Amino acid sequence: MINTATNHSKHAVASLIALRRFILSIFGRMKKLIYFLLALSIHFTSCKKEPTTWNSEYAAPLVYTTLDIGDMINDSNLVVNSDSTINLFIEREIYRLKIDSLFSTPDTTISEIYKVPIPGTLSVSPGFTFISEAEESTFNIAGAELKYISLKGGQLNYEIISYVTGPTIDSIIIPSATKLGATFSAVINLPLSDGISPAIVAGSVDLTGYEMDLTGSDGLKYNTLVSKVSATIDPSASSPVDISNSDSIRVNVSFENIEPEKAIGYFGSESVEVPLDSTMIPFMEKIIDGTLDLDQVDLNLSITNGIGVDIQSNISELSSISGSGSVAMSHSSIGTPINLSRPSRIGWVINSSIYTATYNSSTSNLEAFIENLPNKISYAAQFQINPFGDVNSHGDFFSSEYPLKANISLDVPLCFAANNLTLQDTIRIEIDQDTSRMKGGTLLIDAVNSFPFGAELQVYLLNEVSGITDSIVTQPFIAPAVVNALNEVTSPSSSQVSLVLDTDQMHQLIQSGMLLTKVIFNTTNLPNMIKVKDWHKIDLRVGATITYQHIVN
Amino acid sequence: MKVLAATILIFASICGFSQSLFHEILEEADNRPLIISAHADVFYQGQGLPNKFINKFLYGGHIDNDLKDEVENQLKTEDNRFGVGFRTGVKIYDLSDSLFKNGNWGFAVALEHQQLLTSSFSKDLFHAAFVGNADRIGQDLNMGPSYFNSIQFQTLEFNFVHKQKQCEFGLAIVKGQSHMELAADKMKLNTAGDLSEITLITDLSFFRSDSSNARLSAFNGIGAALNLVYFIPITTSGSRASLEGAEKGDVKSTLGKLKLEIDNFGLVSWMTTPTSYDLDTTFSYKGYEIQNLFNQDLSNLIDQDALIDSVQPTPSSRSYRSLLPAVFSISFIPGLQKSNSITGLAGASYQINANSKPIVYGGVSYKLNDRISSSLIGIVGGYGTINAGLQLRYNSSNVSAIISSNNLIGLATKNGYGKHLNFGVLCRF
Repeated sequence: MINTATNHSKHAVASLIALRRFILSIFGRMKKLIYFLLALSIHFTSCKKEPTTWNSEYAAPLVYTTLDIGDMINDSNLVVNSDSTINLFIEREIYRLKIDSLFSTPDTTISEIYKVPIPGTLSVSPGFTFISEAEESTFNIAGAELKYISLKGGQLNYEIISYVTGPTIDSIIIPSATKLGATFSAVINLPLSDGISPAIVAGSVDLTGYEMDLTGSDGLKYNTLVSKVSATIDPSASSPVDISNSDSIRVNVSFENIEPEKAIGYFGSESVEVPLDSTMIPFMEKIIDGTLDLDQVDLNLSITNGIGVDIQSNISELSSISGSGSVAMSHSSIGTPINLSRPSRIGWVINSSIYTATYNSSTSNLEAFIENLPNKISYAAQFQINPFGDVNSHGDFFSSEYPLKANISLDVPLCFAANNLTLQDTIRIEIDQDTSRMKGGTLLIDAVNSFPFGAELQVYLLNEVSGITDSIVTQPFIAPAVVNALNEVTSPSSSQVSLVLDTDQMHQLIQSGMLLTKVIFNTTNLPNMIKVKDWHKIDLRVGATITYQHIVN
Repeated sequence: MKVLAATILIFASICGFSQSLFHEILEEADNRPLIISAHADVFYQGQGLPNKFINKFLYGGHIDNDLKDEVENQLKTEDNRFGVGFRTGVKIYDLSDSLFKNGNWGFAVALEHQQLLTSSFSKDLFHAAFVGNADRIGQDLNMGPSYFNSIQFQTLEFNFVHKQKQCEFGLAIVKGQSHMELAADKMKLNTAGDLSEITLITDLSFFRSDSSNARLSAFNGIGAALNLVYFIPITTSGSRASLEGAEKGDVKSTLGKLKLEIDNFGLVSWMTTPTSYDLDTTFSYKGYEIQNLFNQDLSNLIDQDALIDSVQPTPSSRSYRSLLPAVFSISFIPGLQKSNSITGLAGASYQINANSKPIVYGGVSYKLNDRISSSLIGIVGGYGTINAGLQLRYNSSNVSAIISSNNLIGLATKNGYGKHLNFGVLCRF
């Protein structure tokens, strides 16, 4: 056994020596091969000097939609008639009288100093009330004499400055101000003063919902508030407090941001000027050219008076303004005084009085007014409040729920003839994704049109200084639906519009992020009119082919 | 794709990755107890994919429309094949008489790295990837059947060697580095003529090992593989032999050897956070529906992530197994006895799970002198159609070396289809 083990050990040592010699020898022999392999590896791994690139062109649907007249014009503005024809009904409030025009309630500050009404010095026990005084304060209300007001907003701020050398409990009570039957009352705890530096406490109280009787303590005044201030030595004080007639308490009260909800009184005899102003008509500003011939348009102007005063108004101007000019309304109501009678009320339910003027082609130049394609309507007017003075013995009334306002309503049957009616708009495009590999493409718009009017689409790129380039639309026409002898749609028509962008144009679009679109409408069989019906629509399918550059690094 | 150099054992079959050294060892180095070899093999080849295309794809440059057209014209409707492979390793033979205390047995240990990326694809898949579908509006793009396999693994082989029986067999432990397999039996893309819809009909399965770590050190799978090499001497009767001193009809002459080989027949279990899913469905996309063109935010209409989520199924993370790209080969290796003698050689091999066709080759070997010999062969199959190969061998008592290529035209010219190079060195001690 021992011999066998020894032999094994000798063999093992001999094998290790042989293996070492063998490895060293191998390394020497393989050195050149290893160098060659390294060189070859470096060659293969370093020979990609540039990325691999190729362009592929992909096609895919992008979006689809159906447009009916309700999509083009807000549904709430459309009235569908029994024969499927449609009327466009637009109502706009063009003016609302602000309460500030009748009377204003600026911030008011009332400051009073209350002195201890005793001679010499007196030691008083806790719980002793040493000031209790009622005061009348006048509200600074401009242009009106109010007997009553209720508030939907506002706050009372107070600051109490005390030189009393003991803790006091002060209260501010306004007997003429109530909320749900409860009198206004603010109770404030003041710490003691050292007699030199005063103790000061400030705070505020929300006045929303308060009603105020402004007739003073005798019920005969206007704009007058009754308040009561009292000061009591804190009953929980540990010892009597010495007070003298040199001790005082100053109370500063201010009313801020007063918003009247209701008011009764005399609102004065102010003349309210409505300066020349205008109201925009959305979408119409996009019409830049062409003519539109309309049928049977009605425009109503209504003035609703919910304020309990007599009003005499005068509409001095009503004009249609477009890029091509303005057309002033010619009607008997323009420039002539209109008397608006005082509304009646039961409690605070007010029966507003309404004045209405109707403008149509027989009573005015409304057709010219509308066919001017206004993007805004300008107006100017004057209102005279209480032109006959205080004939109602301070019985004018106001409720914020019943304003004085003026509305216009336009009723247009969608029966018209459009001749090169051109709409222009700028579309902003935001592309968050990396588009540097897009090398151009085509937008293909497939349109199935059942409207009795066609369109020519032009799309322009805008450069950084809003310069316009050539249109990128190569097939711009969307054909109108097929119509019969009565100009009524019998079947839809199909068209395809394509927009082509090369690499430079695509980069220009991405850089500017803007497209200028121009759509030119023409109705069928001009100058005959067409009628838009509720089932007319256009189906649009937009697909795209994009040339995309693949890059493999 | 980076192409790397390779070595191959000096006595390997000219076409495949096989690595036997028997006919040399036993006849010329049987008295050497230790032999060490290193080898490398690298190739890329695609049927219908000329080098000017592959070179641009691999090494950079713009693939223009003319080149894409040229490639597409050469592709078949289906079953176009492409492969990129790299294999390298070292092997140590201990042929001393100590194993089993039996002089007939020896032992070998090998360490290897392999990576293989292969594909079988349709012409329309190439079209979809390199040309796009814009010119196929209103038509189908039959992107299937298409298959894609990519695997990287390392093996540690332990082989027994029986010198007299001229066979070598053993087991390899496999470390899986990365794997991806896509088998799309059906993948049809239809683009509607009015561009109103695109439809993708798919029937595919997808497997992928952990994609977050695919470096050489990654241990994403483990497996085992069987290796076998067996040489059968081919002799002929002495009546036509011309051995010196032998009598006619009495002596048998050795013509060469028939070599049978199984290389890396096994599988890997991919366990570390794999991903797999099956997809047998039809996707249809009509674009984004705008409810109201005049009252909608038109920026970022298409949410790419949502779109991808809607198409991609929920993957499974269960482990899966994949077959290794094993090579089965049979070859005739001629015995070159004299200088300036010429003999024929032939063989066939097939690599499974590699999207390859069987390879058949045949040619001649020429022995210039005792140390230098060469072979010239014609090859059919694999990732190409017909290729010519050349092998040069150097053999001395201590060192043998080989360099060969299965694709002479591809190696030498730009107009070929693929490249192949292998070389190896063996030292005897």
